Amino acid sequence: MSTASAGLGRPGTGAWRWGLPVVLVLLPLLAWPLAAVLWRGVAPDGALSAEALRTVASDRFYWERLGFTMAQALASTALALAVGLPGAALFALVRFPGRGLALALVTVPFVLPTLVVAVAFLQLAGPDGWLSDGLALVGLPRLEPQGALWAILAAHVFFNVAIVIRLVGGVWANLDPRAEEAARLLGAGPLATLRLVTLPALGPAIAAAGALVFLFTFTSFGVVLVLGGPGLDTLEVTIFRLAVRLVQLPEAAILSLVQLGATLAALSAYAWLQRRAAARQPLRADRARPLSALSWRARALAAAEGLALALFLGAPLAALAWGALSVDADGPTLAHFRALFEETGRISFIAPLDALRWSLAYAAGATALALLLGVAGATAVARARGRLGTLLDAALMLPLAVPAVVLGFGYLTTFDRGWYDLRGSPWLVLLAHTLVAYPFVLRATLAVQRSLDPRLPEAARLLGAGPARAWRHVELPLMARGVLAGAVFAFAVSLGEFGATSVLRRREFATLPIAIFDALGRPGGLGRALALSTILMLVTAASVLVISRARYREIGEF
Amino acid sequence: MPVAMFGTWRRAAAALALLVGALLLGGAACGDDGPRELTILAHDSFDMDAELLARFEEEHDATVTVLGGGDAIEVVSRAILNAGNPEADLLFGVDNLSYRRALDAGVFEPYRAERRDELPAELLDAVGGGLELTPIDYGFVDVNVDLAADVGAPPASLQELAEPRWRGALVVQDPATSSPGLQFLALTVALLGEGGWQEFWEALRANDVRVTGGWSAAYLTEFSHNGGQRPLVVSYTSSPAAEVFFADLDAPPTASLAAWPLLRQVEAAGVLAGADEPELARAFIDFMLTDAFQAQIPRTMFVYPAIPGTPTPAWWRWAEVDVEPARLDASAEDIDRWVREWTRILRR
Repeated sequence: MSTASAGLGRPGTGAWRWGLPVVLVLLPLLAWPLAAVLWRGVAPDGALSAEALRTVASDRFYWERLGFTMAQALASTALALAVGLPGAALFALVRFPGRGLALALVTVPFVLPTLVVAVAFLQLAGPDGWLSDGLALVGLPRLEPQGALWAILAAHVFFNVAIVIRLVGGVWANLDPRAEEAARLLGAGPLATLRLVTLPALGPAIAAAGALVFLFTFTSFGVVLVLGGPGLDTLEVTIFRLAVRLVQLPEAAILSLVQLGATLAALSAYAWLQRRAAARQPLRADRARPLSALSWRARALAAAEGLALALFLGAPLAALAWGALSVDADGPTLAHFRALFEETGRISFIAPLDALRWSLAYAAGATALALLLGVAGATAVARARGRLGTLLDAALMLPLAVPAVVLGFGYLTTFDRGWYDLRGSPWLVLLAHTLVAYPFVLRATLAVQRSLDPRLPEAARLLGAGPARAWRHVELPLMARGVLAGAVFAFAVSLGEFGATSVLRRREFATLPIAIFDALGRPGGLGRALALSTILMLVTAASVLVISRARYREIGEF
Repeated sequence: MPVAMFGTWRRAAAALALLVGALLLGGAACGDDGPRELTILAHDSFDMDAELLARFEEEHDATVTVLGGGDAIEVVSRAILNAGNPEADLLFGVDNLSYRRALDAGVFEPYRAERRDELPAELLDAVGGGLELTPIDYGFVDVNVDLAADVGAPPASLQELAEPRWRGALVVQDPATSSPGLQFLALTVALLGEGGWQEFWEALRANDVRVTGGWSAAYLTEFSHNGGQRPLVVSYTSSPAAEVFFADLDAPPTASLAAWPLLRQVEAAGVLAGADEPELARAFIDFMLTDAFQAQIPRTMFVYPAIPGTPTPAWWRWAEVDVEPARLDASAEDIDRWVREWTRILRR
């Protein structure tokens, strides 16, 4: 058994057995609608036309969009790692009061609709807000976030840092400390130990988190639409602007292919690096130490990090909750929450409990399906060999790279007749949610799987277990932590999903994000939108807490 | 130990099966077909009295389902994508700037509404004058000012918005993604003409105009009345009345300028060609022109009823404007070109 091979089990065996079902699900759900709409774009008259290709290729603007999109995604990913890794260390290494709750709260921004956070934050930072007063007090100019690159990057970190904290923290918390202890004994300083021992061991998890953040920020839509300006459009936004009126569908199709190609290239590079760098680490139960066991310096460091995170992530959330309690009012009031439940007597009325129920139903269903797809996909990737494995690895992440408007139009034009006329069906929404949810399970599972020792399932086989039994009794329990971490995000990403749902929306099946946008778009709906967002915030925190509590035997956490 | 593990695995599998099963049941329970079903594809601002709708459903022994389809631009795109094999029976929300593309794609089948003769000619003409479309309501997109911002005398002409005095004061919407944005762009074309409108937008850009993706972001985050920095926003002439209605005020805190001719945004309904229930769709169009439906339009959608003389609520007087309608005659290609050129001027 070559130690250079990635993943558990013998490489090359069973890759297709695991991969085929996933591919069979993805073909009709992703490839078919996508191909249909792209074909319509590049061949408007039934035959391939090079005109749109020429238009796009000869226009510098589109090249600049590609360059900008790539650059801002890389910068956002680097920043999210820079902010998230210390956070991951804090949660992984220190047991402090309220740790579970804090970890759940960290996940909340990931789910919230951009516009609502922006509205709430601007209400605080606006001319009458205390944030502006505070800045003015110390002689600083008022923040002008709109149309500024720094604001987009900051927002990307705000919305995505949870991915780094949770995925990396999850592995870190279970990393065997003995290697680090040995390094210290051999005379390495704390920084050298971190650089030479800890970070390499965390490599797969850091790369997995980085890949997800990269994908999410590469395809950034809401943040750019709200905070962007001239020169700050991502490809995703450019594609939306071209596609939504259909007139420039050819250009949109070409740009979609560019976006898919660019992400596929970046992901393949990442997958290739991953395979080379995969380091096996013995993992063990939670290693976090209570605050009291830390040195004063470590305690101060932990406190500073905690405070910084709390301010960065907490201030906009607090602004949102405060807005829900006080918009247009003199003091805190529950009026907006009460207004949610008052029948307006109009058909636009969305009962908040119904929206909540649909949100939870979609999230539960999407998580269940994402677990099946994600674990199977991860196993297939881990077992596939060579270039095939690299390609499969990258291709399975593509659902996150597909422009939402393009996929939405694809659904409308392919699931359109006979028994598969799914337009307006909640099933289509569930499937769309599953598509964006399973990559999280896949990445998180793979990150753990790649860190595990391949000799364990081999030992089981030697002792007479069949491949299925060895998988179920040895590999799966060992992967459980990664699967759980992925499940948290699968659930969260479904709770917050807006793009695909909005194309497929139908009032009876409105989710909380849909209800929030509906309220925002109507005159007088701001208070209700903020109140609904606060509910979404609480529901997210509660769900994440519950899922995180799930443990597979003694392994679990995160 | 394997037994215990197997148990855990089985429990997990059972939980999963339960989840999927519950969802299946939930989905199945929703998909029952009893009475006839009318499906309406409508833009996001569509709204009406629930009681009134229940009356329609009762009268026709039908259930009505509304598909939210984005704004006027998006719903038309959806209808075109599904031309001949529509996802709904009726489209509501196609407007004076989006109707041509829909007509070109053969999305509608003609229907003469019972009260068609009572509709003013300018409303009918704004959506082509053909039987494919029946105007239901209309509105005006206009610059609104925050009265509390103390900006002095409001601008008296469009061009004034490009003067230094109004530097950084205005927020508009992207015409590629927002229908009020497109209406405002069309207004500048109507008032300033070819060449003039491009110059105006270049001057606006130099004057630090702010562009948002949609109405919500402009009105709720940028407009100084809602905590933003800009006292002028592109919105509707009825927005001040909506402020009065929702905050229960005596007078609006904002005003629509109504200082120059405005473009009438006419919203129309049409029966989709190939609909499953064309008869119900036709009945619904007539229903939308009844006195009862027309009278609740200001309260539910904050636009003006299409049938002249429809009684309106007292607070609606804040929405009454006396402006000359702007004239605009443009093909679908013209509108596409404006959006392309606008994009070149503002986004690059």
